Amino acid sequence: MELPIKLSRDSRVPIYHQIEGQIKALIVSGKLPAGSPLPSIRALSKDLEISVITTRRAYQDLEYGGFIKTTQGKGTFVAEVEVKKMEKLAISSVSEAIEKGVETALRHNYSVDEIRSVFEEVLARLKDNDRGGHA
Amino acid sequence: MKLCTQIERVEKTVDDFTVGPINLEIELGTITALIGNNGAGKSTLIKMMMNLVKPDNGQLVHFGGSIKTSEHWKQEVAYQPQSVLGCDLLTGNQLRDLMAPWYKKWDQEMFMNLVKTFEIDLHKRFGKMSKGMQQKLNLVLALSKNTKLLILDEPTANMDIPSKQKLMNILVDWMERDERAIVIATHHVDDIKKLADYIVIMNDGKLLGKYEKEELVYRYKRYWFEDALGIEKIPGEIDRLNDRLLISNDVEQTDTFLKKNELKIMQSEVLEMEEIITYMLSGR
Amino acid sequence: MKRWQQAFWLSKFELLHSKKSIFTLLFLLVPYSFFLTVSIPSYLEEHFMLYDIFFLLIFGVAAIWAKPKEYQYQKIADDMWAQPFTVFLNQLPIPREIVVRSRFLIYFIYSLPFHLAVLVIMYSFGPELRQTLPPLEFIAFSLIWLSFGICYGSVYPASDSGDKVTNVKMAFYAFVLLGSFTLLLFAVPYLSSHGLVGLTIMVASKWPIISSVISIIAAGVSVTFWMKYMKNHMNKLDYFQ
Repeated sequence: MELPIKLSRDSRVPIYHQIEGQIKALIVSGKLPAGSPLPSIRALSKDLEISVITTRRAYQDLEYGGFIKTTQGKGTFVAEVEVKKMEKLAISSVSEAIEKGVETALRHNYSVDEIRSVFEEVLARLKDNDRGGHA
Repeated sequence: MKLCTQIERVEKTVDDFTVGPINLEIELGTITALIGNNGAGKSTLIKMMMNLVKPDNGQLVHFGGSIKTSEHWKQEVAYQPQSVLGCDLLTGNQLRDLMAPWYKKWDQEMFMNLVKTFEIDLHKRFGKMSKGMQQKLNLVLALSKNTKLLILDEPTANMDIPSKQKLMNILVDWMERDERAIVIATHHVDDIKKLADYIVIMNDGKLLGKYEKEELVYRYKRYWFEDALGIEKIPGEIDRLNDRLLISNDVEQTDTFLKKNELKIMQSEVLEMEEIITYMLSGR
Repeated sequence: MKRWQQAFWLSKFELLHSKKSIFTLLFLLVPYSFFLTVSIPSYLEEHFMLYDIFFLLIFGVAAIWAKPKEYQYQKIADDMWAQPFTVFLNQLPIPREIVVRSRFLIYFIYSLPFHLAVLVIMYSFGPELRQTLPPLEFIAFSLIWLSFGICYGSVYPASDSGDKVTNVKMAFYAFVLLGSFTLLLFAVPYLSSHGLVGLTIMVASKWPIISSVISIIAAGVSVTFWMKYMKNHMNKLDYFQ
């Protein structure tokens, strides 16, 4: 039941937020379909080498957001998330990632056109790789 | 959070060494690692928590009952000492027979499973077992008491690596069974990284502090600078190397200072748990 | 009663490993009783002190000599002497009362049958003693010495819970104990023209009922006192081990 979560302690994003974001991504991408069990707070804390206080905070946020459900005595499971919400979330996470890239480019004093051409280059390359079957 | 243990101004002087005054609260649902150099007073504190050593001053309360005047806490607190005296002639089976009847919640099934996991020979006399095996048996006996609080005094000191790994999973499972708490005195960084929620640091008989693990991690930071600093002392600074590498135990203050003085940081990162503990134990 | 039953149940864990010791004790019984029986005629005539010393040793310390070394009172830390198994039991949620009672039971299981056997053998195989003491008076004599075994012997279980003692303190205790025994051995013949054992024979034959009653009361009071003492002591003592 181990989750492919990787934490960066040097990031400015708080640990609980990182967990929250990565679990959300796993759910939205379909890697964790509705009903799949999640590790207990204690077990995940051990795997990630963090305190249960931090893990609990992430789980609480996820539960509050309707992504997971905890049943007393049974454990924590991925909840049914509305398709609309999933789409919205997917879009927002995509735009968030692009935003980051654009920010970096602007910091390096790229012009809008330059950014666009970099973007298209990357897009073309990844599409090619995709067609080749391997990344 | 429900409390399982309250320690208030507890103090004990033996010869010319004083432990305390100690104030500490243990919450149910958490694992607290008690760390400190040898002779820091960890074992004395633990023995006071078991009423084996009687404090000169202060109050110790387990599950609402004072340790001195009530008895019911003994059903809810299991303790694994570093070494056990006086049962060398008893076999594992006899030790079980001797202990089990006094614990109302004794879990025989868990006991048998753990005995199997650790491959303990219950027909062997305690005194004839290796140190590591004795430790495993003590641990299994303590866990099977099925109490709400488990106090472990350096449980993995003589254990082989696979057993240490097993123990970690067993303790995680044990925690899930009920609303429970563990206090573990340890020198083993892995125990702290993987098990601890709170870290309590003792030095020279004093309790230096109780920290949530992440809180402790984010207190410390390592900075690399493009140019030599050339400044005497930076707020939060605890260590410096070549005037280009700085270690701080007060990130907020250090960051503010660096920004104000426009010092260029090449890179920064959090410290490893080992380093943090080493600094803490040397009083930095 | 249930507490005594629990105490007995607890005692069995230690007694299980004491079979050999109890056997050794029985083995020692033969020469001891032989000496006491054979030399009683000459003792009755001239009360030589060696006989008194032997009696004191048998009813005072002989019963604990045979204990396995793991279960003997011993040094468990720099300044701490205790019976290690008692220290071990102290960590479990066993009521102190039961631990304390089990310590006394174990001692009496060692000592009482041994003492009783010595007395019975002396009486059965010693016609001179039978002439001196009719059955009732012999019972009184036996009670006096069994009571001595209980009163003095209670110190052993009572100290099982441990004491903070330095070597100097230990030597001091030994000195006081030896000194008082020596004093007793010399003072009694000096004051009464009897030996120590001879005195008890005289008391038993003169006041059999009174001496019996006093012996029983003394034994009861002593056990009660030492059990209470031990319980309080355990509540105060620090167990760093």
